[in-house]
Amino acid sequence: MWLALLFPHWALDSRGAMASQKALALVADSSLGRRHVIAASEAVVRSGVQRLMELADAQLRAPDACVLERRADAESAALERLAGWAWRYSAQVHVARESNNVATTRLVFEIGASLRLFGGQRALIARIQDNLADFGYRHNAGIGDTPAMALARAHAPRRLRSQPLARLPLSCLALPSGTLASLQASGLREIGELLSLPSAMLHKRYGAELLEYLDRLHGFRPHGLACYRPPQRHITRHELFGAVESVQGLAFVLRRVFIELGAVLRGAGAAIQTLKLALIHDQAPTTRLTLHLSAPSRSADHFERIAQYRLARLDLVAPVLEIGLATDQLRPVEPDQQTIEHDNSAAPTPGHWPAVLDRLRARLGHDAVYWLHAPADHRPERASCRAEQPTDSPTPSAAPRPLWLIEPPRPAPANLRFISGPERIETGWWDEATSVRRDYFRAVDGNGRQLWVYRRLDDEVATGSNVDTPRYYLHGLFG
Amino acid sequence: MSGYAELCCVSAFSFQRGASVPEELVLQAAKLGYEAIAITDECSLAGAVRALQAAETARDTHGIAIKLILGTRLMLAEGIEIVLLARDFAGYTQLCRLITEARRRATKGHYGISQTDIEGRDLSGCRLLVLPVHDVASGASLHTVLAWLSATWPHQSGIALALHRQARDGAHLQSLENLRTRYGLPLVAVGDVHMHRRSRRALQDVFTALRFNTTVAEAGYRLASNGERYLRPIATIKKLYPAHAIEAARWAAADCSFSLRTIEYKYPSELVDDTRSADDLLKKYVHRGCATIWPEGIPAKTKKQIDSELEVIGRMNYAHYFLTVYDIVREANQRGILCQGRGSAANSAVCYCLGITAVDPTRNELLFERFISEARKEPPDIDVDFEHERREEIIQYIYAKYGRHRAALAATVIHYRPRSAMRDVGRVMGLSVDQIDRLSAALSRRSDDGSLGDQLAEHGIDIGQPLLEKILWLVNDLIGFPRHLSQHVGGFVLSDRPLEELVPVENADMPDRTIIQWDKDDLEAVGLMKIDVLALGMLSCIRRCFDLIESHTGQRLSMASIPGGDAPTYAMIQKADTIGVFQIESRAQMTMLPRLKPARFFDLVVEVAIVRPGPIQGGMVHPYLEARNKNPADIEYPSEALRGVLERTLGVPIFQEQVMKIAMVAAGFNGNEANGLRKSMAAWKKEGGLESWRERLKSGMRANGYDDDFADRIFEQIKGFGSYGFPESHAVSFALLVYISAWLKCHYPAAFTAALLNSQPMGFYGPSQLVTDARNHAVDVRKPDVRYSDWDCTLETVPGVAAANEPRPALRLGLSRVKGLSPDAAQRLVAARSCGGFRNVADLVQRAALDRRARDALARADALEGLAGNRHNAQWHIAAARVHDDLFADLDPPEDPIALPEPAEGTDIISDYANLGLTLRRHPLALLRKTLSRKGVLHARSFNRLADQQTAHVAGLTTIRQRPGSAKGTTFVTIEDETGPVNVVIWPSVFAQYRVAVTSARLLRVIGHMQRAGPVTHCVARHIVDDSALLGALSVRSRDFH
Repeated sequence: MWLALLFPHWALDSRGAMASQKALALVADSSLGRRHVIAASEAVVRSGVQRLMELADAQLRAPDACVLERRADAESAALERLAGWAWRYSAQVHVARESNNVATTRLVFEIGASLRLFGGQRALIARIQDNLADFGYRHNAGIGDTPAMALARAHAPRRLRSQPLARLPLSCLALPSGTLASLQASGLREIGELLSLPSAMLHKRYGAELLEYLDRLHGFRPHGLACYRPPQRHITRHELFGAVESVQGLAFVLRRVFIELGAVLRGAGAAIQTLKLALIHDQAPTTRLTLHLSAPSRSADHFERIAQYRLARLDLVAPVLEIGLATDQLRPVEPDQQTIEHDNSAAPTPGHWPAVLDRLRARLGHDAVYWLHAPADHRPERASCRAEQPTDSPTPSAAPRPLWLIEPPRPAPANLRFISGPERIETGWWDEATSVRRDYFRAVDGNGRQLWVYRRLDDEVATGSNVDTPRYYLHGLFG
Repeated sequence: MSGYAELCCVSAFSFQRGASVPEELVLQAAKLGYEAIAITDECSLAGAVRALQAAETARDTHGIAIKLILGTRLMLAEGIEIVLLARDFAGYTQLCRLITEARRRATKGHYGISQTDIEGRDLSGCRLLVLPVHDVASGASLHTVLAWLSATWPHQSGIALALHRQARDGAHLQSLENLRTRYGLPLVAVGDVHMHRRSRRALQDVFTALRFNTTVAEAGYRLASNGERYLRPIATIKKLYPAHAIEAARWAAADCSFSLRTIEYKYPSELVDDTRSADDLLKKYVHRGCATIWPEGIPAKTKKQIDSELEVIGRMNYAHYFLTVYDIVREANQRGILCQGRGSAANSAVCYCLGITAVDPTRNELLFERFISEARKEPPDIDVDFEHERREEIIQYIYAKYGRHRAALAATVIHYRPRSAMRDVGRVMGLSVDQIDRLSAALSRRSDDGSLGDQLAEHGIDIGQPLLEKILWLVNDLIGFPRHLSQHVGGFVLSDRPLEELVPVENADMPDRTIIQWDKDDLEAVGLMKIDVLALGMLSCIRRCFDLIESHTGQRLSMASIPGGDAPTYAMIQKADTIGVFQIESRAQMTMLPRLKPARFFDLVVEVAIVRPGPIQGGMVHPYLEARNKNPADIEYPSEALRGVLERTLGVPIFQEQVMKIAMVAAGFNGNEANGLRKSMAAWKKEGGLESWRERLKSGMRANGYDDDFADRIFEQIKGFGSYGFPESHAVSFALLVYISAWLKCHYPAAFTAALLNSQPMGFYGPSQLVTDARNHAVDVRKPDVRYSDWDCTLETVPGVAAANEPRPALRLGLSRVKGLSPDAAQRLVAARSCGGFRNVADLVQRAALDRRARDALARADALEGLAGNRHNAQWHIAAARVHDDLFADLDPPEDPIALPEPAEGTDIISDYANLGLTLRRHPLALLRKTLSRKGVLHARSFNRLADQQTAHVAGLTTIRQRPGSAKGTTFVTIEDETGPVNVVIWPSVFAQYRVAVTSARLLRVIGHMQRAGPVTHCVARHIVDDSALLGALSVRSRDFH
């Protein structure tokens, strides 16, 4: 016995709570040329919007709806996760959709074998429906002896669900659109009418493909669906023999855990970037630690070192009874990570940024370590900023800039001797807060320091171009 | 000495770069006291004529003389930028050729040129400047270029020095001074100007971001670091630049003496041989034409007119132009392509004699006020419409005859309008696609519909946000800016010398099409003549109708041979029985016809001109209708002089020419002023500036004794005309097509409908309405049938009726009506049939080699009934048919028959609509009548008989939806049931309530009241219901016009 689930609004529903909170939402897709609606919230559907309606048309009906862009990758990932959910009900899960066509998003799985386990069909279905309702996934379900039959039922309009298969409309079948149109144009309406036709005649008109499909529908031929395989991520639990009370003791245990993890990763030719540790106590709530690596790794030594730095800042609230470990998705290893494995914690060499960085960050705190980035911007105060990751800075401005920027600028000392300028910087009009209109000069002060000073062009205008006593601001030191 | 000349300045015609239009630059430079300004757009002279006109305006209106220099700047492939300026005519020609070459080798909108392209070239008439950028002053390719310049053109070259208060100005100046010493070329001060005032700075950044396809915030160093690239006061220039560089600029400017006014344009002369002058030849052709038209001799009045026209043509030297048009029209005639000229010069006795127009100036009691205005030095204006599907042949003929170097299309400058401006500004300001969609949807398509802020506010958009304020301010600046060059719909420029010596030529979007860089206003301003070769669907339809009539009766009609003043035709027009007739088939026209009751040709001219947004908004329609009901003697004219102008239109100005004439007669304008008024009329909504005319008009009229009231009224009418005012010279030509198509509809309804169907898409009505109308006129329409139909619709004899006297042929719908059937498949089918009728479906498929798609299309359109029975059976049978490679293979053994359900009537109707777009069976509403009656719905016919103000329900398929701009938000919907159409009027408040139903329902039920004005009836909607669900899968689509 097979259960088929169709998700007509998958593009929206798969976005989860964030999207469904917006009471009115449309998801638009421009792959069909003009922008069309490919999923809509219940409220929007009630206002008359249908899937594949042109966006402009839909907005006429639901003027307040917000429009979200489609994210096909996220849809696929969510579908993959849903398959993982179905895995708990069945070992034969088939998940598919054709070429990113949302309408064909479907999940089919065998439930006959699980009926007893879950207390019969009714209980099982109720449970599945509850789950889906919790997820917020709108769906159409159908049950049949074969996957094709279950799908046909899932396609049936609600009012026909209880009819026998033969009474369902032809359009419930997964026929090629040309075949379906041809059959309909011959006056056929219901599945039963098709099934009663001599197969020789059908073969002549629509080829073996149709007959094979009908065979699969009836189970005369294997369904031939590819089965889903759960994603590989390493999730383990390690029971400790006796409570561990110190961080040092914990480190010892963890070493074993990481070695095992490293072996698994090597075997799979994979690496991970995030490690979650759960320290399970007897009385106190579980202590959870997350270790982010700056690059994927599979080195047990590396994991251990990072964990040690992290643990050094940790006060154990209670003895640990058990350790849970979960990694993020295993990813194919990148060759240049190889060097890390042989890193014997000697002095870091260039190119070993990740290891050093992870150690620094684990010790000093994540935000204390950053890169200096020079964005392309004429405004001096915007021309440098902090970055979490090393960035490809564009060629910095060719204009001479002081090494040390004084932020915020302050009034310049008197008795300046100007040596060059003005350089006029006048930009940022699109952002009131950072708009700049200034003339910059290089000047020397009484102490012989080379300063970078400016006067504001707006002052000039405000004071009626009182050039004699312009106000200067100190913005940098040339050393 | 304290002057300055700007030698490097890009305008908005350097698209996505220059942030001021040429007029702004020239005028601002003049005001600042510059001695000269060079407009040096990037590989373009598209702004040249506008700059010239601005310089002349500065001189004539503001009394400031400024010299205009034309030039261009080019980025060489080596990364060096150079500026070329035209010193004299030879230099200008060298420039045009260079730009043409650089443009022609690249795709539309781009150019490509390298140093080697320039090196070997004669640039003796140009000045050359190299424009080194900061920090590149030491590059190797710069040295190569400078070395070449100092060796080849030492006295005409210079190094351009641009200083913009940047950090390394001092170093830049020093390195250029070094180059100057090394190569012995002068340093020339330039502003590298991108805008006329610094306030355009934000717009300049917007363009930069657009050019690099990024946002302003992310454009970084690609933006200029300050706003100094504007036309700076001379005092500022003096402070920044060394005196010798400024002097060098002035000296270079003084050396450039070329003016666009000196270009010499000659019309092609191949139509004239050595033995005769063009005037003589024209005279010969005209007289030959006269002999054919008036075999018994020319009427005296006409002879006088012809002679005076010929005399004007001779004096103005326009004979070549008329000969060229004549040549094209003659070619069209030889190929059997219908054409018709229009425009002031087209509706002349000379053009009638030459066959350029079929409007007989003697028969139609028309005045030709504006044959050619001698006062204005404007070239004559003739537009020629050709059959829309065969115009390309004429275009190819022109290219072949004059060669691609001497014939090119005029450009059309596409300007920014509210929506496009909002899109571009929104994008660079970082708005999301949907925010932009929303904002631009809230804006009108036109530039003249009031404040953008108000429009947004009306749509509930909060315009108080600072970001949106900035965006709106930029959008307002951007509207009206040139955006890109496109090709004119059909304006050909021909020249005796290669065109690229006069104006640069570049590639258009279409392959093998080239356009010049000037648009039609530019051409007019510098006296280049253009011929508009336009496409008109109705001409195709009329020619097809002539063909059909000839094939059926053997009689060949022509536009000239159709008798005028035909009473049945006018009777038909007066009843508004005009579906399919040119121009007067629209709903607005149809409601006017029973009131206007056209009874002679001139009434049609008025009808064509009056039912337009201009006259409607100008409030001319009702006064004219009232005047028609008066005794002509009772119509009062403000003066005898104006009686002469307005008498033909019963005292109401209707045509554009009349407005000009009023200004001349009543306000004492001269021809030039009147023409200026006409141009302002066309442009005032875009540019404003009409108010200055009001005073001049009023004072002029006061001086001639008219009161201010009348003057104000006339002025309001002029304003109402706006850009829509219709010239009589065009209305006349259109009216002739109105009459001819109406005559054909009246006397040959089957042929006319067939011709309309064969020319689709065109006109106001879809095939379904056209066929319904034909059947209402007792035309026997037959469905497409593989046994009889051609690709096109054809005429079939009705058995038992003598074809001699009153031929009433039947109309056989063509296979072209069958959706999804390709012309190729249909041709194969027709060809196969000509070798013998089809025995059965298998025979058809085999001999016509029909693929799956064609087979399905024919079966579903019910075109196989004669071979395979009803459409269900036809589909079933044809699905089994195959094209066998081996002709001698045994055909498949016959199958046992199976019983398929018979199609119900509703199924057939639905399938007809889906696969033919129309049905010859009952109207779908006939099937729904019981349901509708239960809801209290009246027949359309019964509804249309209601008394004024009576309320009722009526329902029908929506066939036409319209929201004309002139109707202030009122929506017009036509619905149709089995008894006919009902015209529904939906006021804005009702529309707002039923927006969704009105815009998307296929079957509308309307509760409303009758509004009756004589025979003209409307249903004013109060409630609207979308009853489309009743139709099930019926897929009749309405044709939307917005």
